[in-house]
Amino acid sequence: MKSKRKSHILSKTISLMLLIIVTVIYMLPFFWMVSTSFKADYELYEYPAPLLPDKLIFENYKLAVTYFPFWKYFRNTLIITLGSVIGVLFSCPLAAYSFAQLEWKGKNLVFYLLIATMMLPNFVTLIPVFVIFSKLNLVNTFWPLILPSFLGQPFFIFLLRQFFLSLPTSLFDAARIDGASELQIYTKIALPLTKPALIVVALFQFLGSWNDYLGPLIYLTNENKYPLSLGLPQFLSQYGTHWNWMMAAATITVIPVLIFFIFTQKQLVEGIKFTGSKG
Amino acid sequence: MKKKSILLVILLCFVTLILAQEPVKIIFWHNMSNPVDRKSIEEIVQIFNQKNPNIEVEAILVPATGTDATRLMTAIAGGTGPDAYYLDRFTVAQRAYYNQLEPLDKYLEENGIDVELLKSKYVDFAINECIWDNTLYALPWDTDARVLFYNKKLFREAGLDPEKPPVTIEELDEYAEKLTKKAGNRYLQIGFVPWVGEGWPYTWGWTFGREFYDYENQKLIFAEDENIKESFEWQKMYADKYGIKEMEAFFSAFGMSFTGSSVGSAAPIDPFLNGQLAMKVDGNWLLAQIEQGLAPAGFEYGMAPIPYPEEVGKSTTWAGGWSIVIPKGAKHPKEAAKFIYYMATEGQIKYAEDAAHLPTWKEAIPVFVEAYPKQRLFADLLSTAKNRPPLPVGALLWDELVDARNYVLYGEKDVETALLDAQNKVQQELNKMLIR
Amino acid sequence: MTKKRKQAAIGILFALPTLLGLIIFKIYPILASGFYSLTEYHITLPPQWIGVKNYKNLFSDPLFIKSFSNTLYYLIWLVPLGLIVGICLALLLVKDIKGIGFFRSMVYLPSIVPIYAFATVALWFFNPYFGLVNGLLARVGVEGPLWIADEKWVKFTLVLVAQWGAGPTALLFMAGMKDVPKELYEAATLDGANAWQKFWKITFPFISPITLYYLITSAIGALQFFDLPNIMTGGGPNNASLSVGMYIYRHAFRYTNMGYACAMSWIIFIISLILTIVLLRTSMKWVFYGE
Repeated sequence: MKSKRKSHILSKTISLMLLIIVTVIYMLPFFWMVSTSFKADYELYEYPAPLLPDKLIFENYKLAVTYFPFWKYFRNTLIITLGSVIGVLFSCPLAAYSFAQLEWKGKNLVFYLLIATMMLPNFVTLIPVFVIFSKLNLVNTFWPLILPSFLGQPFFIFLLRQFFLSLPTSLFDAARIDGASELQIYTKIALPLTKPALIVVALFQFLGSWNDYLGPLIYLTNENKYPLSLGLPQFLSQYGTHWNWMMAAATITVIPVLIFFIFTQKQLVEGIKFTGSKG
Repeated sequence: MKKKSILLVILLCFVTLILAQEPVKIIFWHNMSNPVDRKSIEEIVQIFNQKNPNIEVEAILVPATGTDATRLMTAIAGGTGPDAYYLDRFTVAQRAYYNQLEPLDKYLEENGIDVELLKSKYVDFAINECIWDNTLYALPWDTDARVLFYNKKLFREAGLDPEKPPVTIEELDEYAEKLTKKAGNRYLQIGFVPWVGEGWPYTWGWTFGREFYDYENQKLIFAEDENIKESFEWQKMYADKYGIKEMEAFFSAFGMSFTGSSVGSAAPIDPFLNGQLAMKVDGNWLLAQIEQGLAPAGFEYGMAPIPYPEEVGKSTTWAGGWSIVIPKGAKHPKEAAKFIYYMATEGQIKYAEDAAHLPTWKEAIPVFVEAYPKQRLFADLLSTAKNRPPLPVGALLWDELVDARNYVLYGEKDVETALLDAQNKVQQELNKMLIR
Repeated sequence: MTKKRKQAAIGILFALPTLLGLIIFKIYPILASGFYSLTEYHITLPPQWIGVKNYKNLFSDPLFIKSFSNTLYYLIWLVPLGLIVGICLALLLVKDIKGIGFFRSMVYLPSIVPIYAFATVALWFFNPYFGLVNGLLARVGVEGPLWIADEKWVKFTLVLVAQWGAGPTALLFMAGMKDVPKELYEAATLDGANAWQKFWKITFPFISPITLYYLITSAIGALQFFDLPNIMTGGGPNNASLSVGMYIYRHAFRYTNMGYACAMSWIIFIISLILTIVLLRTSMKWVFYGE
């Protein structure tokens, strides 16, 4: 008994140590980003690069948000991101459920086609899709950035389908026998059971939209519509980049995503019913 | 009855007047995101709009880096492009060839401008880059030039006179050796590395005295040129003498895409500014950066023309820079031309003064030097500066030259083979295009 | 309508938005790019049919061949390593100890941070002379390689740096692990199973659907690897880290050689397709979907 206790404590300690080491390593980029955001101009070019700034130059933050219309860009990022998140939460679970639990002709073919479309490097589909949107007169609006989310995203559909496949068919059959419509089954049974998976999808889409650069670059031609991702590159200049201001702007940009993640991570990890067996 | 109809007529006249005076809207895309540059551009645009009430120009910032023209390409393909665009002069020929630009001279003439006279008022190399197939496609905007920057403090420490920078290549090599410090296998300080900063193949090819392209015969000639080959051999000498791997390791600390050919994002940390590299060939923008305070406190530096081989006898530099063009499919090319004309002439004078950018408009140069006496060296070099051959294979040629240099540095190919391979590849592409 | 037909109709209805999106935004552009790959196309000039010339040229293009072999390297290393790191992180972070939420958030951070910050830290970390990694190796008497500065090591360095982005993967695996009924573990312990056996016999089947998803999506991602090498090395030294994704971008937008770029993209596309079919087919054997 005693040795069992000892080995238990030992393994716990090792786990804790590993955890701390891993966390420190993973925190480094963020730490450097924040540290740089407080540095003075001349500190940016010292060698070896100082880990911490001499003094905390809070002014960098003020300069960062006045370099470009920060809050306007922020609002635009919010619109694009929230729009996309709603879009994927609407279209992807629907399709995933259909692939996983409903039977229709050609279902598998369509699913494979869907996966196949993930495989083409996006640079080459950029132009044909742009031409479509320009013919629809939707260039310089947020629509090209939000609409595709409402029409399914293969990565998420694939992921959700995996989750839906693990739900017991017996559950649905029972509901059907009871006379429930597919829509009712979908909204009242399937969705709640995959809530954590939906949060993962929301988080991933949130992150993707929040930092998307190429999409806004080619579709938004009015500065008032620019999101934050088009703001950060503005700090880069051949005539001297203010890395400190840029990192300050980047830090502010990161905070909302971080908050979203902190609040949802517990939810996600708790009981995603992957394999249908009740815990 | 009469009153009503008179009112109607007046109303109609009023409406017609308003409609007739509806200013033509011109959209101008640029990527000068630096606040000083940007403000200047916007002021120039404002002045133009005031002087031309029937034209309204809107300047829009495109946050793309360098010569990234992704947004422009997609816009032209979709027919939603701007009327005026800020383009890297070096790519004008390529874009013109691929039908991505409207002929500017035609529209300038429609505005009553004497194009030949106009051309003569720009620095030679700049206006040359704007012409393809005898048509003028762009007007030059700003430019840049390269010189040797050196660290005065490190000079003193090595026993060299900080007021006497190296003049010849031979002196440069000597100084470089004295300024290099090693601890075991690793470099604490390096004196000079030819290919860092703006030490591109073009820089040294021209410094060693020769041309890359024969305009008359439309042939690339760099692979057969002894001097250019020598410039590559000289660079290889540095690689062998100091060890290419150790040097790469040294520079990787600074986030520099050491031998990558993409003109990517700005390097986060500059070893020259850090005091780790004693001498570097770089552009006048470095001067602007240092003056802005983006350098260590108390940084002591000097500038000198690029050292040259003794037998060549004089220093050479080359210049790049930007231009303004009318992309294909612009809705109002005539008005756009008028705006471009203003920007590239009077506008340029103001910009040079506001933003410390080297102008290409001859009239603007003295104004610039007066405002920024430190940049006098660069301004003086403009009259003899070279430009990259305006060819539709411009980008490919650049990449191939850099790759050839890398093959040589890493010992994968000898100078002769590397240059020949590059030349053949690009010439092949060029021939295809010239036939058309 | 019979029950079956009704279900089929609903099935199609549910999938309708996706079907629309598929046709408009995916199938059409893919076919378009396939068409362009058989032409000489420079966006603003009409495409000129040249048949399979682009493909032929690719096979004699030394840079394409180099970038292709680089990309295969990325594929072979990124996928398995990412899987191992993701699962290990998940095992570490899935425990319900107090404050674990903080640790999870920290591991997720690098995925949120703008890539410039990320790249600079990575470069500093792997700096051959002043970096942490070589510093630690020196302590155990090993002389570290030149990492990103060395042609032979640069790809591996990029693969290591990419692991900083393992947060999202770990998240997915954690979700799967949480699902395992505790009783199974307890029963196994009573039977005398060790940690290794417990993982393979109990944990793994439960995370197998996620593993399949991960294998397919990360393989596709590895074949298109672009962001990291683009910003950290620009393809160097001496094109040792140039990926096909970067080379495609270069031809598409730097040389406006769209036809050629499309041809390269289609090669990547076909390979991804084959890989995915193989993975999906063989998945029946090891993926466990419940009960």
